[in-house]
Amino acid sequence: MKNKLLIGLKLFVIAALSGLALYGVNELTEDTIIENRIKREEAKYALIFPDYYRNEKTPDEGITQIAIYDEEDNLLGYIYSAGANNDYGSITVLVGVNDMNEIVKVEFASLNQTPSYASKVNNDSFLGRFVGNSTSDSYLDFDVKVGATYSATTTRDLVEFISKYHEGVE
Amino acid sequence: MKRKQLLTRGFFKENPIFVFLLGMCPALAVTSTFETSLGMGVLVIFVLTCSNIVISLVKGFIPEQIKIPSFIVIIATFVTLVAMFTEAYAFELYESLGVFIPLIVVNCLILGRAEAFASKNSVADSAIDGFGMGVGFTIGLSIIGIVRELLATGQIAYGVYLPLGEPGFLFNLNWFIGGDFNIADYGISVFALPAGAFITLGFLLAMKNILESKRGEA
Repeated sequence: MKNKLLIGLKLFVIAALSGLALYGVNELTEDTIIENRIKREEAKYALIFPDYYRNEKTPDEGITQIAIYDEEDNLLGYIYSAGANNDYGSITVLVGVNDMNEIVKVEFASLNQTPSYASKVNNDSFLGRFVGNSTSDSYLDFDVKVGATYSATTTRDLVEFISKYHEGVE
Repeated sequence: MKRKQLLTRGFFKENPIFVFLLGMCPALAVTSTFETSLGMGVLVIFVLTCSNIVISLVKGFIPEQIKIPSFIVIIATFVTLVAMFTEAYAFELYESLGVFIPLIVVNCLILGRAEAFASKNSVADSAIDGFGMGVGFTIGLSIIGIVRELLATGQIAYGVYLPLGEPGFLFNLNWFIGGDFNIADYGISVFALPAGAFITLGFLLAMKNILESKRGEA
């Protein structure tokens, strides 16, 4: 019994030292990592609204509304961020909506799917199908035949959810 | 074994990729370009050297029953540290390598060297063995990366994923062709895909076997 406790204690010491090392490095790198993540996120915003300068975020349940402003502080539109899981992993979609309630662009904030399926939805020929449509349209009958049914259906459902949310807010 | 031998045996004679076929997952998955191969190789050198040093240091402290879980905790710690440093200071590489950084934890090469060498030898020898094997692994990855990138694009780029300054080319077939012709338009794109990794590795292993059998005959 004593021997087993000693073994457990040794394993605990190793784990504790590991935790301590991780804590130290996390303290050292945390700010830079957050900065990098913000830069990556803002690069996505600029892809959706090329005149992007700053944003204001309003988080809600399961969705975040991001108001996008240009350099003269004019409201360019909104980007909505929402995520969902399917059998292959998680997807977070960014949908840009302009002041005419039209979808400007759809981008993936993250796309943790099987790479071969991810490449079938992360392209203009699929994402471009949403562009120019109104948020009042229904996307439930949208064509998702791209050879990656799960990834495409989850993306379509997220765009539908975001459109309905935007309509509700408006 | 002399320390020089200890350092260099992993380069070619006991190369982890071409001789022992260890670490095949990254060897096939992240070698689509020379730079990602080199980046992965450098991360593995760091993890392998550090984990060998620490495992050798604590080998007397760890009982036989918890040897493997302890090694995995130590290796996982270094991999997480590497992931944090890469995300902070080489973000493009972090994005490019993606899930393969955490997967270094289960790289057979690292656990293999911990079990077979570091847990039985001195700290200095373990560090040299870890570094040498890591360099050998990097050489293997880089050779596959160079062949694949060259066949897929006709170019070897740098500065795209690693913080090596302004992006440019180490080698570009366009330098020899000139005019409006762009070799990248005529690349064999299958070599940038996972199937191309299998084909490249197969050919490289076949070439190595031919060279070895010829050397044996001579």
